[in-house]
Amino acid sequence: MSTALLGLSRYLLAILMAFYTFHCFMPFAYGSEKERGGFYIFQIVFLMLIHILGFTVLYFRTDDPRCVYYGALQSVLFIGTIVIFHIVYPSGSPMIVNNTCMFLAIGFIMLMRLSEGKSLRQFLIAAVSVCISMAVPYLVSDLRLLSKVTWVYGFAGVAALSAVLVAGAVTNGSKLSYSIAGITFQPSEFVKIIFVLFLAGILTDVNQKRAKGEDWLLYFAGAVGLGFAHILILALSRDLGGALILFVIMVFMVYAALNNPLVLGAGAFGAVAGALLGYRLFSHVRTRFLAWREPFSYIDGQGYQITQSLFAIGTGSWFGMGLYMGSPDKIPVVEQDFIFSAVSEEMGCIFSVCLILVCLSTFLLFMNLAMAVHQTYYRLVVLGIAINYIFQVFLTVGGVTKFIPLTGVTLPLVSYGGSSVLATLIMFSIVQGIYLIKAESDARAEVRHAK
Amino acid sequence: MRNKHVFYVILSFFMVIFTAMIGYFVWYVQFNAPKAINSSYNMRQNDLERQVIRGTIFSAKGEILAEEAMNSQNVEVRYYPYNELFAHAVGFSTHGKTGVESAANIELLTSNAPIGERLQKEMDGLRNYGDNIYTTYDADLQKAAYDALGVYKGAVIAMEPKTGKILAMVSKPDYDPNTVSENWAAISSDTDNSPLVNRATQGLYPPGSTFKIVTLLEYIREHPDDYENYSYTCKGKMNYDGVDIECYHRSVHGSEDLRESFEKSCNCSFANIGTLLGIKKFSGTAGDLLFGKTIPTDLAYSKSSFVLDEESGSEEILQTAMGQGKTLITPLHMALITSAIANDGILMRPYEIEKRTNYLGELISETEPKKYKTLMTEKEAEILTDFMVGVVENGTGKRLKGLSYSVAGKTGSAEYGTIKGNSHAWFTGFSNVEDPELVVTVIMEGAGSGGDYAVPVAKRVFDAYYKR
Repeated sequence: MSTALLGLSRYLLAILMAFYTFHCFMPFAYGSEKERGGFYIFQIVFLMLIHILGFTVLYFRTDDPRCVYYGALQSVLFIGTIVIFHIVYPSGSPMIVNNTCMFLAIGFIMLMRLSEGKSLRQFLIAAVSVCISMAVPYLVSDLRLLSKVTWVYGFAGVAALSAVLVAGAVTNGSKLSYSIAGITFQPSEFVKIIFVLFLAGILTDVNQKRAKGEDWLLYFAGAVGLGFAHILILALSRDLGGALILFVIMVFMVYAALNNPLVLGAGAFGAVAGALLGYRLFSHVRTRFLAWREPFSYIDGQGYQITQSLFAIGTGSWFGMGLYMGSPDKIPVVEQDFIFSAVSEEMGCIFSVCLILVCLSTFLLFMNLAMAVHQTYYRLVVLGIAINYIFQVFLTVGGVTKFIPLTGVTLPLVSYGGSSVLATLIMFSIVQGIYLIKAESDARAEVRHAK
Repeated sequence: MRNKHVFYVILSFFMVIFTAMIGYFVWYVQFNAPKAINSSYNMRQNDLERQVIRGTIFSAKGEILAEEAMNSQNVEVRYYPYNELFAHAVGFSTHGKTGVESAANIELLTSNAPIGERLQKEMDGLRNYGDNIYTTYDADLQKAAYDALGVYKGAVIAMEPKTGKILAMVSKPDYDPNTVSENWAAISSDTDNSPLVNRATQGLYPPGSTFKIVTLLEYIREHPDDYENYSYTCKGKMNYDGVDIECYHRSVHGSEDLRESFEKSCNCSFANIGTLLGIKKFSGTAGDLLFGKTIPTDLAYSKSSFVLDEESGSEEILQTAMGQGKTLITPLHMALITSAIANDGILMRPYEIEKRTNYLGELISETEPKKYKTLMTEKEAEILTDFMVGVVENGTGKRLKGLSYSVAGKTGSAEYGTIKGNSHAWFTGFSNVEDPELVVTVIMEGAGSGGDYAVPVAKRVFDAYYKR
């Protein structure tokens, strides 16, 4: 029985994931949340089946009873999160919660396979983060906590990043983190949030000034300057991925606010100029570029990570080697930057393509909300978060598949890392809060309409 | 800002980059991965071996060259029924991987058994049967080449110029692939004989007089209309710019034209030609013939080298023109140049893997003969063929004259080391000149002259081919 399950598990996982993915896109075809309810139920069913199947396979392969304990506790966390969220925030988005649990579940399975200790840490961090972020929608929608402390956000971001640059620990050649009381923080993860809030506030002001015919250019230029300060500090800290993400967020948010295609042209120009300048100035940029162009020529050095990743993905092929049947541990920093390769190797490329599609469905959901919200400020916040999320997915998946050069960013909620999990959960919860605000104003509009 | 189109622009942007990325990913997994993962740096091949029983390697006619078998202790081992015969051609998979075992490694470890059977085996926790590989090797021809080479170190390659199929590839000294793992220490430390080196593809030798094919081609390229007017008087030795050149065994060839110089392989005359050539163009022609370039093969090979440039001194130029100097070439490369001459100047991509089937024999994929590059014009190939026929009719390849098949070729006696008279025996040529069928290239280390030693070996291979 267990042999048969182990033999079939990789096909079952791929099929279940395909079904889950299907149910992530079906809701878009239906207008009302009522009609969509059924899909959400199916999502939960497939989510739980994947999680339980994953941990059952891990248990059969290792005979480690902790697989059972962790698996059970995590199931409780998922069900608890889904149920409590639904009760507390009935007008929030159930699909965002389901997808959050799905990403966490895939991360838990893969981390348990790679390192029991990291899996446990990730679980504890996720549990605490879920509790913290449970309050965020309330803070956003009822207390309107995101009101415009815009410039403060901007200066706080620059200060936090500068502190890391000056005093931070050196990890993997990039100065990304510092430790307080044994817990390592990666401030750039949180700076991304306040960066979005900062820009949304400024750009809302800019639009108001424009509407009133006031002079807005100087104000706008100051904000853009402060935005570039963030990016520059990150680039100096060698966090190229982070710098690139903030740049893309800024370009698209400014474009959306000013509604001027010239912004996109300037952004494209800036990206090319920045890339050329980085290539000229920094040897680590050149190294990354070479490792991307000809990884097999530098297989002993700079190309090692990416070639191991390509071996993992290629050897796993469509259905994967099966959990514990591959060698994902041969890829350096597999739990963080290369988790996608590990998933591909052991659970297969059908599974991992589905994973990308689930990420895309989350992005679509965010964009739908951004278009539906009336207040400029909230539209921009949701847009910024959406771009932050999907561009990070693009950088990590594109990097490990050699579609683009490696930038060393994590796959949100799937990769190991406390700061990243907490920051992503907070961002998703801010979006939930804006769902609530939208529901409220829709309801008011209906009442007005009824009158 | 109620303008939704802004959001649609942003949405489209991300949809486009994600579609491109997923497309790239899927393309990689389906088409590029099987090649990419066949690297000695990919330690995951052992993971595959735990799930799949390595497939069988066959000769073109279906003789088993390598298979999984049980030894007397009932342990699964890789069995090579022909022992040393295919040591380098098929290679081994027990201590690293070489030969076909390396080139088709992933295919041998991938099962295309019927899907129902595969699922059943996976459910039962059993390994599936990997795919089988049919090579282009002809066991009879391989045996003939192996026996003909005898006790000499060296290599023999036989291939079809029109398809690029390698029919036989022998390298000596060799080893028994059945016991290579047990005897690894002794085999790998034997630097005098280097039995692990596949001399056919990795052995770099001075080409000796076989290189005169290249010098001849260059002279014809520089004198397309009047090369037939070339004349030279050989006195057995010559001096140019303080450089002494001697003909093999100081033979005095007397008054000769270009054709006679080539047929008799006159060193003095070719050194003289060297003084007449444009060095830059010469280097270009060598490049056209793939010196210093990559060779289209999935076997491990060394790159041949041709080092002349405009700075080179007279000594180097003269030596290079007659085939000594610093020029180095592999027997495979020599066979490819010969194939191109035989095939109207067109080099076909050489291959040794004919097809891949599942373990039940159902075809999975097949190698189609493919043109790699045009190395020379049809006219040039025709002239070289004509000259090479002369070598057999009137010159150093006389032992191949008057047989049931016609041969065009070139011999070589490549001097090496510092002791005068020590030379590697070379022959490269093809049979059935009107409609070329088989290219044979022979190198015998330290044997003596090409005409006396390498030509008889080639003859035995040709004989075996036409006796089939």
